[in-house]
Amino acid sequence: MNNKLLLAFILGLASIILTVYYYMHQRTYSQQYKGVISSFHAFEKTYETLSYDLLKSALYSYNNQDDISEGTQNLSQEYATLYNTPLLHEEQYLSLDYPLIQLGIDVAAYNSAVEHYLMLNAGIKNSFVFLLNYSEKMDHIFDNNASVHADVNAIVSELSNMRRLLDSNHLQHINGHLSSLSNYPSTTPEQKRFIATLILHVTYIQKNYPDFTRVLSILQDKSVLNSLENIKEQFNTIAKTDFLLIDKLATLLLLLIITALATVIFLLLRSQRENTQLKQLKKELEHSATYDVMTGLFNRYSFNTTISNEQYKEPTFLLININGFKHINDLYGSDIGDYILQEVSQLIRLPIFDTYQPNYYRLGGDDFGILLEAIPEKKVYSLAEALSQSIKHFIFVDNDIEINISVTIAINTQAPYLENADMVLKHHKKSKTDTIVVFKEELGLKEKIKENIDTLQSLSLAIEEQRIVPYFQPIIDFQKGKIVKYEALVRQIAVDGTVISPAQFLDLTAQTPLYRELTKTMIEQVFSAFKDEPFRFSINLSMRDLLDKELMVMLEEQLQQNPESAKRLEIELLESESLFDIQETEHFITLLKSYGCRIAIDDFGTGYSNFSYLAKLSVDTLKIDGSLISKIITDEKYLKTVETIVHYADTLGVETVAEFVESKEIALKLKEIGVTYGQGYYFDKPQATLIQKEIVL
Amino acid sequence: MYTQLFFILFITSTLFALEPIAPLPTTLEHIDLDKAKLGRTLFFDPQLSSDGTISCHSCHNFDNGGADTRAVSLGVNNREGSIQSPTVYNAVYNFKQFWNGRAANLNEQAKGPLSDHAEMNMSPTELEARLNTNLSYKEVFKKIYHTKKITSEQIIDAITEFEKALITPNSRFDQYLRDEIALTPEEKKGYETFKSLGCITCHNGINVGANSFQKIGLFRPYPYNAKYQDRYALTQKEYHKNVFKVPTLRNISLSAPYFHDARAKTLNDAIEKMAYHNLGIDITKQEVQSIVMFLKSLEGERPKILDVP
Repeated sequence: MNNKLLLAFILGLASIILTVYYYMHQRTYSQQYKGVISSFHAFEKTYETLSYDLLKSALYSYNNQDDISEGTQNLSQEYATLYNTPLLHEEQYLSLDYPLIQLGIDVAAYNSAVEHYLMLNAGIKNSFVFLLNYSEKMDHIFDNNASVHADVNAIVSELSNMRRLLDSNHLQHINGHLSSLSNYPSTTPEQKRFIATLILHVTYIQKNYPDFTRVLSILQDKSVLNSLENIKEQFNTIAKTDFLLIDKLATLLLLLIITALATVIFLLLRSQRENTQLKQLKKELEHSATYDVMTGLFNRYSFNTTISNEQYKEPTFLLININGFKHINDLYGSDIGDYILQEVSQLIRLPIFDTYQPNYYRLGGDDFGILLEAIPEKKVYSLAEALSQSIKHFIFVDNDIEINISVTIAINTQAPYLENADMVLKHHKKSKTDTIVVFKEELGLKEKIKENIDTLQSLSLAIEEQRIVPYFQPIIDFQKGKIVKYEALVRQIAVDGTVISPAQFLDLTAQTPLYRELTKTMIEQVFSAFKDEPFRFSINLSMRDLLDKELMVMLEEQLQQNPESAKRLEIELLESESLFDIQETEHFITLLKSYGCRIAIDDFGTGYSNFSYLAKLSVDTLKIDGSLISKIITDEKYLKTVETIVHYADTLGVETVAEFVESKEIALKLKEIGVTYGQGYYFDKPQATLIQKEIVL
Repeated sequence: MYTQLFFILFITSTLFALEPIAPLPTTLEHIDLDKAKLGRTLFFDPQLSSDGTISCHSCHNFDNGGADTRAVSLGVNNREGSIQSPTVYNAVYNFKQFWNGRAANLNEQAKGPLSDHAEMNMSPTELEARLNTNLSYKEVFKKIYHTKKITSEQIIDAITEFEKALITPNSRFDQYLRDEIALTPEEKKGYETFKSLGCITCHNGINVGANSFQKIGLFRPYPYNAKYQDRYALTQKEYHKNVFKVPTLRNISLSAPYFHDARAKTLNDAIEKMAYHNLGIDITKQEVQSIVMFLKSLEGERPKILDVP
């Protein structure tokens, strides 16, 4: 491309330079040519004028000879002009040099002939005039002398014939008459003088006439014109070659210009084609920037544009989220996940929306959006309900697998549309009750979020300032009646020194990196606290922690560095939904056991309590959930449950710990039914230090 | 064509054309007045000669018809010139300059006397050196030629410009030619004699001569002396011996003596000699006197440039 452009540029430039050069060359040459030609003409004209003036001088008795002298000067000057024409001295015209010099010689000869002619003409003309007038005096001087008359008349007649015929031969015929006249015996001085004067003039004519005719013949011969003609001919022959050269140059120039033009046209056509392709590409790019590739719906960018352009005067926004989509992907694979997304993108296009200028969006992941214009609040709720129902009852079929899904729909009419809808959706997803939620300012979601952010910020600061500390709650051996171990619990110390319980911040950290930091600092501090103490101690870890490689590496390092403490350590695994990754859990337990740690299941008896996995895992302790313990006195069913757990634990050879031991009554009952350990406010609350005291049951 | 025309001219031997003499212009055209005035100063300045004694005017005296009363002029150190000094009046209309026409124009001519050993005897270098020491000259030249240094070309140019302006208009005869006055019967008769005897054949044109060469002694030989530079001195052609430029007859009554060798002391003498040698006729005293009357009518006015302040 660039090469072609360069070529076109070079061609263009070359043709411009060549055009200018051609123009100047051609102009200079034709000017010079015209100069030479007009110089030829001027020379010829001067020559003709001079010839004419010469004729005139011969014709008239009285004549102004200024024209002739001027004419010879002009002829010399025109010759000089012609000779000095620069073009004639250029290389190709060198052959003209000799003819030009020849012409110069001819001009000089001609001018000198003119000069000579004027000299001769004056005397001869005067003599003829004189003789014609003079012969008339003869009668008066010689009376009737026949012989003198005859001689004079014969002489005058012969001279007249000679002049008329331009023939010098007639001069021979007068010699006899002349001698006869000269021998005439003059009787008077008048007669003598007449004859002498007559003879003077006749002999003058006789003597000069041959020269006169010779000079005349020089003036008549065309040697000057012939020389000029010769130069003109040669000049034109050479000039023709020059013009041919100029013609060739013009042809070359034309070709060059055509080539340059063709290149430019070619480039123009190509650039137009490329432009079309670029436009197409731009269109595609715009499409992909506006549309979601997988579903063909508008994307989030397009949504933002629509909103910021205020294309909707009274927008209502529906945010649709597929419930548990992550599990669908995990269970069936992302192919089916994608299939479901594509299907949903069609399902949300309910014909009833068409009245409200709907636009459909995929806003990322499993979030879909619908923008509607000026739809009444009551109407939108029922339509959302209808949409939810239609999806719920739709059966997604892929490779004989039938899947049902449900969605949660957030309705929002207040800007920022997506953010508000998302907020209310997330908030309500926790409750998992409603499938349709409506954003309202009164929900105070924003404030709550702000509060959460504040909490996280102060927590982050606390970690930095080491204001996250472990508190220790003693655990009592019911049989021995004394403190045998401690459970480490996390506490945040506020700037003012008040102690903040984890209930206020721990849940919030769940999705943040702070969670790991909390766990880490706890592990470090707890190890440090029990390094030189004889007591057993326990730390709480969640399934999430188990899956955190970095955290596990750190824990293992602590175990390696403190092998003594490791043997006294008990890990309390929170029994929760996430605990179902049995494999990972087993791996973890095996690892810990290799260091001599013990494993406890925390909050046993609630949630997903599952006896079967207890059998699989090598658990050492079950911590019976506090909600069961606190009711064993008042409710027989809870007592039976606890008894069953204890019995079951005994069967497996697993120790039990009761939480929330709040009264002596409960303590005694637990001891009675055979629970191994107990902890609770009845014995002591968690404290910053390891307390030791007598326990009286 | 030429042959035919020449033929016609020979059978029509005595055709009369229009007036063969033309009047001088009455106004100075194409003259740079400042330059001409500078030329005038130079013309009168003897500093242009080697010993500071001779100016152009020494030999071309405006009180003597622009020529010299002496047979030959005296140059520096009283060296004798070689020929009778011709008039500078109306010299611009001479077809060539000098008696033998060796200079094509006034510019070429002016160089001659300046450097001639027997005239002003100045080389261009000396001339420049001398004028360049003259502050008033330097100033005037600078004003006209816009150069710091005076060159010999500029000096010649200024003198030439002055000489171009040396025109003597409004002679009685010119006024007659312009139909402004009538000639006296004597003058008229003189003019007719001048024509009928054939003087007009050579003495014609604006300068009444000075447009052709002619041999002195056309019919009867005139004394030849090689010391006078004739055409022969230039061409070495035998027929050019004693051939000179036909002199102008304007103001001729004011510029005696006559001929290249000053052999004719008076106008009558000159006319008689011309009739004898160059017309081959026996002229009568009446005819001579008549021609003198005509020639006097050719006296023109003193050139205006001489009196321009």
